[in-house]
Amino acid sequence: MRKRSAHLIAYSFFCLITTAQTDRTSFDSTWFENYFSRQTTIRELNDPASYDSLELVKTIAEKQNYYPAICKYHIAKASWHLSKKMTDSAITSFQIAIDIAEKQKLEREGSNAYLGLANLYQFNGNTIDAAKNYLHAASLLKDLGRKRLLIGLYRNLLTIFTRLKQKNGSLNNMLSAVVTSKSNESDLIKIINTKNSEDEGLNFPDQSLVKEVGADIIYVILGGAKFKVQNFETMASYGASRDVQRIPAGTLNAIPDMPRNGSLLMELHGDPKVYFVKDGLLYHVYSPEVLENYGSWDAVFFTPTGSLKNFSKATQQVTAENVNTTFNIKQEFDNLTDSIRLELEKNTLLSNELSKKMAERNIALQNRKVLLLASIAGALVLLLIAFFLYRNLRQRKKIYRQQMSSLEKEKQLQQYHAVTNAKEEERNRISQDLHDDLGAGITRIKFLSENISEQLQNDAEKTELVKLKDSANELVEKMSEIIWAMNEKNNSWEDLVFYLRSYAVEYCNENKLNCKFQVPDQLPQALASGETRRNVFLILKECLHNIVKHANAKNVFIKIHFSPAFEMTIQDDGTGFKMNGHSQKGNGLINIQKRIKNIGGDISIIDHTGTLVSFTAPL
Amino acid sequence: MEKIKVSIVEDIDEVRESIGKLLQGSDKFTLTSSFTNAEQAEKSLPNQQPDIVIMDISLPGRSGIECLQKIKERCGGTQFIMYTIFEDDEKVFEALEAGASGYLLKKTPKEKILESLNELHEGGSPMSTQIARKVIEAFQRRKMISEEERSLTKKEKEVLDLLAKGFLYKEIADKLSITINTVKQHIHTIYEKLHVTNKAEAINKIYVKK
Repeated sequence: MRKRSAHLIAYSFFCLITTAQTDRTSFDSTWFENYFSRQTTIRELNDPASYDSLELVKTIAEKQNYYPAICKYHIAKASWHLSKKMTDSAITSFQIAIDIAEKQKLEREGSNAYLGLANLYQFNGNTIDAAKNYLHAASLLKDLGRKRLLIGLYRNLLTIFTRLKQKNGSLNNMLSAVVTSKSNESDLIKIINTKNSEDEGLNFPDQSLVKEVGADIIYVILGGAKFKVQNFETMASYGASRDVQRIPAGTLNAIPDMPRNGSLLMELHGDPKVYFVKDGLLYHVYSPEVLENYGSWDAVFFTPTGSLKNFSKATQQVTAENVNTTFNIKQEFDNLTDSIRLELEKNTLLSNELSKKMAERNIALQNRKVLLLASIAGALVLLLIAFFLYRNLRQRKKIYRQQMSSLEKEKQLQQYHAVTNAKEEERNRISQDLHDDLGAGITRIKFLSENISEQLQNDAEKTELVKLKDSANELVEKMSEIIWAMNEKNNSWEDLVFYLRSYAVEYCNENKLNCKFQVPDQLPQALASGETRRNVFLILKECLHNIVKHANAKNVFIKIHFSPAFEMTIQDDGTGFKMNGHSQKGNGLINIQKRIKNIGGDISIIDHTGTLVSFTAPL
Repeated sequence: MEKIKVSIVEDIDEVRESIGKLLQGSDKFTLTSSFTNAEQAEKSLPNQQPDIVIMDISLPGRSGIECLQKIKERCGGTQFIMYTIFEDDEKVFEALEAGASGYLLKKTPKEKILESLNELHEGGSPMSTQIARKVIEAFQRRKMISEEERSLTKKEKEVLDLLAKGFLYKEIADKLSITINTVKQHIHTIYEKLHVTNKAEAINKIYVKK
């Protein structure tokens, strides 16, 4: 709804204009011409109503198939886009205008569209596209006789030509840099970026005041060339101090100095003459009629006061007679456009060459990278191989050492086994000898003494023989004990404990002693040496012997305990050892103490109710 | 009453003669033969079939154990009593395993020898702590034969365990609330089972070899 009402308003506005202009209601070429000459400035278009009228005019023009108006509409639209900083849309609009103009052979509109697009490209620093569009515009404008436009275009072409030459120069530099450079990828990327942005910062509108950073001189840019500003008074004609742009040092080298060919120059104050520039010489333009040929007053640049007096001046004046011989604009135009075409071709060649070289360079770099990676990988592989070889070697050494040490151990073990075997054999041999020879001998003594005693009548003699027989039996017992202690098969504490119990109980039983023997349920798995076994047994035997012989006891209580050392308590209810001072007992005690010392144990003898002997032996 | 026929294999003359005299003087036993070595005994004993053979272990040629092993099968009704000096001897156990019914120590006083022989004949057998331990080991070792033949009864196991821990017959009888004679009977059975297991093992060995 709102849109439609806007259209209506625009339409009524449009009707008002038209009625104000003419009384006719039909839209002919003159009407459109008038419309576009009045209504399509940027300022007008920024008024919404005015913009709507533009759209309306376009609709009317399309209905009538009036192409010049449609074309003009698109050019106006492009300007409007530009005012909104919509560069891409502006380019599209220009392109549409160009297409229509080309199709309908509208040279006037076409040249305008090309010029607009070229200006846009130049403003954005795209020299190549600007040059191309300027060339199109030039070919259309050349024959139209629009001198003012032509001379402006000529100056633009000059600027573009300079730019192209500079661009090609820098392309050449880049090319040689790429070809000869040993630089790495990142540097090349920098070069490419420079290539793409080389034109930026060089575009200054006419009458711009610029000053390089660090420099004293202020320049004014006129027609793409630069003039020194002599004093502040002159500068004031172009702008205030705040208008002076500070630009990077070296930027101005790219901007040519005046005078430039085809320019019309006049000092702001001072020299009142208008000069035309050709081949570095200033020609005085004699009359306004002559000036018309070069673009009229509009084409005149007002240079800083006193700036022209230093330039060389031609003695000849430009008059109506020699205006075409002095500067044949058409010819100059052809020369310039040819030069630009050449530069463009050169640019294409250089660009292609650069791209090719860059690609080669990239491939080389890639190859170098691949090579580098390959060599790194190779080095890594070598390192790994070396590492594994080293480890292998070390392992082998280790294994060798282990083998050596295990061999040595085996050897030691073998030696140990040999020794133990020898010991075992020796023990067995001794046992065997004891058993066979000594045992048999003693048995014989025993039986002999028995036989003899049976034949004897004398009691005293008989008693002696009984003693002999008892000693023989005792000898057998002792030998039995020795054999038991020597037997490696009885080497655990368990064996010892049960042997002690068996002996003690049987001994007490034989001697009418009441014996209580307490053994723990759990017995250690540790081994007891032959010496320990023998000493512990003999201590018990000695104690029991003492009890039987001297204590006059009725009960014996024996307790074995592991805490965790072996601990044995032998308690009797006899008379106690203080009561009897027999030397025999003394000897027994000394023996016991000696045996305890041998096995690293401890003993305590307490006179309790009876005697309490307690001793320990380490496991 | 028929006298118990006893034969003796002993190389020491005094011992052999002494035992011989002792037996001749008793009204229960009679000495049927005596040998000085194993070889002679092996030849004659299977034919004589005495009730008891008193066998010395250490004989000049083959040992008493080898002799026992050779003739045991051919002397079905004969009880072999090993006559030894040391009772905790490895060899005593070997002999018991080979089929001896018991053992007699040479230190045993003459008066007690006949008593021991009588006891042995009636089925009682001595067993020391060391021998008991070896018997237990032997039963644990034998795994080739059937459970029934191998295993001891619960009572037999208890008796054997107590013996191995150094208990006397009297103590065992008190502990298990049985008589000393029952203890002795258990020990006799244990010996017999030891023989059985031994025999089974021997048969097994032969069978495997074939």
